[in-house]
Amino acid sequence: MSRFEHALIDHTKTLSLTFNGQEMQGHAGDTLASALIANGRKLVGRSFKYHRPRGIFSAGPEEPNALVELREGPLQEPNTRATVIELYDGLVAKSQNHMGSLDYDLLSINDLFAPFLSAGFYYKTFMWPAAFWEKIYEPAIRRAAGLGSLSGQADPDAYDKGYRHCDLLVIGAGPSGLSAALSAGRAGARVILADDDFLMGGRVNGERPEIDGMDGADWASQSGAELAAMSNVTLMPRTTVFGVFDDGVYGAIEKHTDHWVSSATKPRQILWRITAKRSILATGATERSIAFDNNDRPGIMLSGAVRTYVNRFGVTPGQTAAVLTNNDSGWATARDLAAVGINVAAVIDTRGDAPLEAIDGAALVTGQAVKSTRGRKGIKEITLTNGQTMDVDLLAVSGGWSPNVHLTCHHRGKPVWHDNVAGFVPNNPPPGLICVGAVSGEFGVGACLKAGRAAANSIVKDLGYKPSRSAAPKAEDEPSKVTAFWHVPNTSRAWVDLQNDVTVKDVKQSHQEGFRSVEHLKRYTTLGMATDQGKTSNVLGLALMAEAAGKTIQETGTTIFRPPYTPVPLGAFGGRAKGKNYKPTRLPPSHQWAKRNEASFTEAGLWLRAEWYPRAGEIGWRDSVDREVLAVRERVGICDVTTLGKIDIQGRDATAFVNFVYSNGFAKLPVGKVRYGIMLREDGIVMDDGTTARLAENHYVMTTTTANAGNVMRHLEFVRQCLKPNWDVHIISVTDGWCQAAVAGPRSRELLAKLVDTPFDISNKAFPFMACAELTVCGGVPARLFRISFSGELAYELAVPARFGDSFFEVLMEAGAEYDVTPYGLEALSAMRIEKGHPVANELTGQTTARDLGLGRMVAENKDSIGAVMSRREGLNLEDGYKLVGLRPIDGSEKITAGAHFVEQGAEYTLENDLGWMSSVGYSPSLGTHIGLGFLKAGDTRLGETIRSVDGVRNTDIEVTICSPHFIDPQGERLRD
Amino acid sequence: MTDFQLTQKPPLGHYTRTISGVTLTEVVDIKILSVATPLNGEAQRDAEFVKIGLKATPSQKTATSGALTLIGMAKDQHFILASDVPFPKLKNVYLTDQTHSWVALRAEGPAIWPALERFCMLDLHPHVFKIGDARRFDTETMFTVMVKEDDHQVLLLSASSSAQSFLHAIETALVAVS
Repeated sequence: MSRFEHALIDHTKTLSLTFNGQEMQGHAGDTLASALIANGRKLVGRSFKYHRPRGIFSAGPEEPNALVELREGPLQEPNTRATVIELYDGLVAKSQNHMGSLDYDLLSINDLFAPFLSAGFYYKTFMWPAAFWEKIYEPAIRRAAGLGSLSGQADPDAYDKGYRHCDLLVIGAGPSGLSAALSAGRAGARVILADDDFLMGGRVNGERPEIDGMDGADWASQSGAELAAMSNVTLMPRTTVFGVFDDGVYGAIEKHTDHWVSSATKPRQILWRITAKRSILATGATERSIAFDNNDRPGIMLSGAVRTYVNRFGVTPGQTAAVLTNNDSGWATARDLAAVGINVAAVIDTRGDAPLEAIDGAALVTGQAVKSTRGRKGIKEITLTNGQTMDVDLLAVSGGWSPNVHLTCHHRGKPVWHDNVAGFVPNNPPPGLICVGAVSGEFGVGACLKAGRAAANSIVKDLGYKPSRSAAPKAEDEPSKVTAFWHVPNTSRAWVDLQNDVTVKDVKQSHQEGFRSVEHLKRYTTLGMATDQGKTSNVLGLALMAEAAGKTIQETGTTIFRPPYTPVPLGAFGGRAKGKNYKPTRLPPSHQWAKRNEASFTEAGLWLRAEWYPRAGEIGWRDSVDREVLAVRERVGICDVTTLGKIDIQGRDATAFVNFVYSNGFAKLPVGKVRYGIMLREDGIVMDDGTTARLAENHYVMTTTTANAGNVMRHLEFVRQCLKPNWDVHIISVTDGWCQAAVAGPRSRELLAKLVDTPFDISNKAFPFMACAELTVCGGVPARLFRISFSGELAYELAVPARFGDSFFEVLMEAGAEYDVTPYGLEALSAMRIEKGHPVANELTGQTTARDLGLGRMVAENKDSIGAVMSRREGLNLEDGYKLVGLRPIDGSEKITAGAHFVEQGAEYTLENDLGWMSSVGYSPSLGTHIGLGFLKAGDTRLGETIRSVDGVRNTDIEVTICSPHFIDPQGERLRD
Repeated sequence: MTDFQLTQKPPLGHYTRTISGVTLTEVVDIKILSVATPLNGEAQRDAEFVKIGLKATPSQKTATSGALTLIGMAKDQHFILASDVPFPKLKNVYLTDQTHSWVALRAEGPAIWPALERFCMLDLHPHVFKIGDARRFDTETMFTVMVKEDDHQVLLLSASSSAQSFLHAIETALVAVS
């Protein structure tokens, strides 16, 4: 099809596309919809429920019919509106929601059963047998109805997020928005102008009014160029502002590379968070239809859309047209069609007093409407209410315009009905937002231009800028009178919501069945749901409901709108945070060294830690872990423990502070000593444990568990800033600053002696258990040494500045070679801590007390500390309360499991008989059996008894002996050696 | 005397790369000293700063004296960045060597601003974020300190343990705006 010369497309740039396998051509500046029309395509899809043939209905985001699957393979995107797809070379799309071909959809048989498929039919029809609902009925209905399909593959596209700020956000680049942006931009304000279209101008591109003596499209182009040249203005085409949030924050989705055949390395879409001091809503209005029989055929379109296709895209959706309207805008369409030589058979105005401007060759019919239509896959004939018939292949319908008030509702503002515009207009919009132009019911282009300028000037003045003196662009106001006309009486099948196949009959039926609220109407009939959210149907549906109820539309009310205004891909919300980049990865300083030593890694929170170091000949991970444990117990091992939280505490009140946050006493901890401490929450439950070293009179370094490092830091800040603001205490995280290695085993002292600079003495006498010091190693490198043990062996933790970490582990291995030093990972560490009965996150569940852990005596009674009082509550100190115990299977070859529950021998495995649970298990290579830690009612009084450990998930039932949680060296002789 | 020697390796291994006209360079010669102000000790602190040629700065501002840059981090905390010189001797304040806690990246090139739009939620308009200003923000849950050193040059500090993820965030943004 040749294009009209005036079209706003690049006639010289031809683009290829494929629709349902058919190759076609379009031009740069086309949408998929305009290209399909240019290629003579009328039938583009099938309806949701009845599988009726459907054609392109609109020219914008309100499109209910022309939904396609765009692209192929994993890039396939269903339910994409052809009216907003910017054409690119190589575009591939196919129609959706049909069985067989689009032309011969087998499921169109549904249309024959329409009398049985009215609103809510599935609620009534598929009631029995109940078991059939999920297995048969629902899957069958979903196959028959529903929209496009997903590829089933991971989305390979990239998405991104972004943040922008401005004085004024202008939403919509039609005449109001452009005028506002020009005024604010000229005044020097920071302006963002966002529009969902790729061409700035909005309705002026479709209507082509004269503005400032030139074609409106030229004015829009010129205005866009002026704005683009302003350094204080950011233009955001292809960007839909979809939500208004708190404090001037707006959500917007930009189709960044959607118009490229491949986005390559660029994000396909960007989710913008725009923070604006003020905003102007210039989103215009959306045309709606009129309900008459068979008003859903391909070739029946919104009048304004027809005008847009002719004026902007230079295509005509038909050769012989009729216009049905209840307002003046329909006449403008007829005039524009006639102006380009399209035969206008008739203008049918439902108003009796319609303007009777002569349109070349067109019959003028007033006070009538279209009664029905014919033409299965494209309209062929219309029958008027006066019985007259006409042959047409295009029917342009205008039932009036609904202001796009959606964003004004996002702070619960409820639009109000205005009879003079036959639509809802904004009421109580979000703070800082002003509505101008058609969205506020002001339809004339001239008025829109003036309103945009006035609003912008008012805002920039308020923000401290000097308003521009430029006059508002000048344009005539087209007539825009409307007299509401919703539907032709006595219809049989007249569509209200084309996307959801909701008819006039459905709306009336829902009212008859007692659905009085508009919210109920929506949910019962599905009116206004899915991708278009009822942009063309909501008001019509409300009007019908009001009529059925004998109320006014204002009395009937309206649903209000939530974000998003248009569909936003979930991928855009995720942005770049997917796959391994879903969250940051923290690497200990020895990571590269561990990689060189072929460690196997595991995630521990955000950290990536070595879990074991396999060696040649080892078959499974247990071989590696058992070897590592035995090496520590017999010789010496090294392990990176950098991930433990490390918090530097300084200040005149540092001692009081540490003494306050720990439940056990720290007031008398000497300089050069370390103490184990437990930290309680306000409610007396254990929050974390760890060691704290006193490096100087007013200087401590606290360690936390890896998992709780952030929580403890936050807790300490709360205490410092809120509970004890008058204490002189400063805290700072030094977790990343130090590479800390555990050096554990009987030969650990000998190994470290090789590294410690003289004259520092690490003999047992000079540096006993729980000693600490700041010293230097390897010829002057500053270090911190702690004689503490998690393994239960003679052990130290040595810390050097983090950037030495890689070299540090090389040196430890080199120095320890003569003792056959062995690196060990997280699993061996865990096995040894179970052997020693040390609690970790498995035990510190947020429900356990110090008493439960067998540490009740650590809650000092002679001082004030957080949680101490609440820990004394009666309910936390019951005689038969849980106690941490050790557990060993009677049959040493049996494998006990964490999560199992304890019951007495011979007792039934029921909730009533539950005695507690297994919190940690592991194989002890030292003992040659699995061992466990668990919480058992009055467990400390039952040592030596036998109970059952029952795992209902893994279906095991194992007899275990209750024992001390300290399986290895319970007197602690080794670590003091 | 020990026979062993330790060598340093910066978190990104002396990284440097140019993407979209922006040169990213890992800065390895900066030492970072945290200076916490004792309760009611502002006057003594300021006197200490004066001794080394610096004037105490409010939060989000920096001051420079020779190879030293003072960053106002919070009401009671400053960072001193020492470029290739030893830390100054300061008294009457609480000091913590933070050098190894951070990775430092210098980004230079006009495209750094659109790239920053993709991972920094703060307003970085030149009228708002001026040369010599500093900001603290979260980048994809990673804490970041940023100093504007010139019209198109910023110094970015983030936790050394997540340096690779931080670099990835910046590289991704730069590729996206290329």
